[in-house]
Amino acid sequence: MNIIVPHQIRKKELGGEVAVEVRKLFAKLKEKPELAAGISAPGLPSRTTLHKVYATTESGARRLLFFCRRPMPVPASGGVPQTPAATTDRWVLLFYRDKSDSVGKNMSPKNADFTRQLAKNLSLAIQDIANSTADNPRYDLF
Amino acid sequence: MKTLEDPSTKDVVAIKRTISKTLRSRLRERGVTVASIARDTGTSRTAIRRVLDEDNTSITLHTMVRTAFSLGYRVRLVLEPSIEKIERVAPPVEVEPLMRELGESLDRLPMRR
Repeated sequence: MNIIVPHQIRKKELGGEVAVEVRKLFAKLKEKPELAAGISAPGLPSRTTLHKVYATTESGARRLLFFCRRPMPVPASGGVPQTPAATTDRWVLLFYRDKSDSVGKNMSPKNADFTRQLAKNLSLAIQDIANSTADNPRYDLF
Repeated sequence: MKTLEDPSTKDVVAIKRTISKTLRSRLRERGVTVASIARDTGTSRTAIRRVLDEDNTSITLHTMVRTAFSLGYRVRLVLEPSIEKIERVAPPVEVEPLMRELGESLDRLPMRR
């Protein structure tokens, strides 16, 4: 699993840098990918899920939201070789919120604030991912 | 009710096991008795035996730290972040085109070394 933090999300959600507390959480997530196993996503674009993570840190309860993209299946008859990138799940951080924050307390379509900010953060993530190059990545990788 | 399968109970058992084993081993190395530790710490032998019993998790932090101290250890607790659960979130219909676009951008993104 790769965890991707687009630079604009880093600025907006994490105050500009990925703190030790956040890095520790990412490490925990990577240790236990089975936590997310079996989460299905009917109605979503293929190979795509949104995962909400309930976490507790020294600073309090946090709610994270990740956009998760699974790799393309390997074609049975060979086909175009996959890049190394395509062989692992990619989790893009979209929210890192306090449990009591207006978004953190209710990450569902019923929450208008969540919907509005999700659209904004998806747009920021798209800008950074789409404009990244090998020489100039606009994201942090964990 | 907390069961052995509960992650926090597993942590408690693992922590107590490690501490008890370490302290028992130090006790043997130094050739000191439970009675002398009890005297040093101003507590009962029963309380010290509970600290040294790796299956007994019903001890006070105070007794544990004082026992460790009398055997030359300091106890430090480190709180690590934990992940309680992960669940799927249904996306609002309005953001589905953006999700599709982000997915496609990710598919095109080469992996960094």
